[in-house]
Amino acid sequence: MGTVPYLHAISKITQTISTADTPQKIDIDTEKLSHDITLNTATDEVTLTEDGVYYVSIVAQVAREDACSIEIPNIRFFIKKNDAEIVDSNSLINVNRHRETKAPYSKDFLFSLSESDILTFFIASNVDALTKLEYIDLIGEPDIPSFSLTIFKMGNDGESECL
Amino acid sequence: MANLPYVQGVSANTQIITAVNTPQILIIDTLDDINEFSIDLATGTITYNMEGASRKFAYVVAPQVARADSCLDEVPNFRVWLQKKPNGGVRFSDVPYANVLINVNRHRMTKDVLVLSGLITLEQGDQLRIMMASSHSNEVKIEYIPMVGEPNIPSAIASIFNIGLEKDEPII
Repeated sequence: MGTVPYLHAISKITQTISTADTPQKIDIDTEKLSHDITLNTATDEVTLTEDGVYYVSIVAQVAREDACSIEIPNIRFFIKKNDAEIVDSNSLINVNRHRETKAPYSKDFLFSLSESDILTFFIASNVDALTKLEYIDLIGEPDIPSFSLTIFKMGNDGESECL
Repeated sequence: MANLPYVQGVSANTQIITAVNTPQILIIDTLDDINEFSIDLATGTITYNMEGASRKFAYVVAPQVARADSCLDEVPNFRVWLQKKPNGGVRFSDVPYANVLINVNRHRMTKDVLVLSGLITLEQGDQLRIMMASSHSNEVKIEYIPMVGEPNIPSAIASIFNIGLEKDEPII
């Protein structure tokens, strides 16, 4: 039996929404743990090597810019598979009007995926330059990544024989 | 097939941040379900006990954060992260990048939930504990909320589970 495929990756990059209502790919620059799921840090693509049902969990450190706008922007997150949006993968939160508001966003999914499938992760907002995923450097405790991604295949690979 | 190792516990007590920017242990005081782990419910220390090679585990920690009923016109933050002590080690160390932060806005008694999740490698004897801190003391807490007609809300829930067998490991 092979090891269950897994990936834990993060982003150390603060990523500001640059253009309103224009999805932008989330930059994932650091791989922490992986086996049989690959992250291309140049393209931010995650590639699978086995068919199966996968648990996918995303955590984003959402923040509002230090701006005086009275607007309450939203921020949306969704996932693409092989460059096509995954149906029902989108969700939205509002980022309230207090300057520099920070709040994590998290969501978990189960997806049936195939060998060679490529996943990419996107953010969008109704207002430009007001919301971001923020990397936070701290002293005396771990730095906070702007984005964290956890993926692993559920259960056995179906080829195992009990001893 | 034997069950894979897992543990789930909750905090059934409100825990308030007592000092500014001073890491404080988030104590898991109530065991929900467990296999091949143990928890010291007084100190919140979680110990992995299974013999054999190291394994990969998913962790999910979700505190129920609340602001105290005070009039302070500031926006405190709240952070939660993991520390690990390897088998035979003498002290806990921060798990890199296993941290998440939320602002608890200025409205009195604001409540919110944040989630910390990821993957970690554990081997027999490794210990974990959950840490929390805030920019303000006595302004932020994790709150146990008793409810009528629906489940009480724990001040935190923590789950750790093995994501599968390791390479060449037999199924017994």
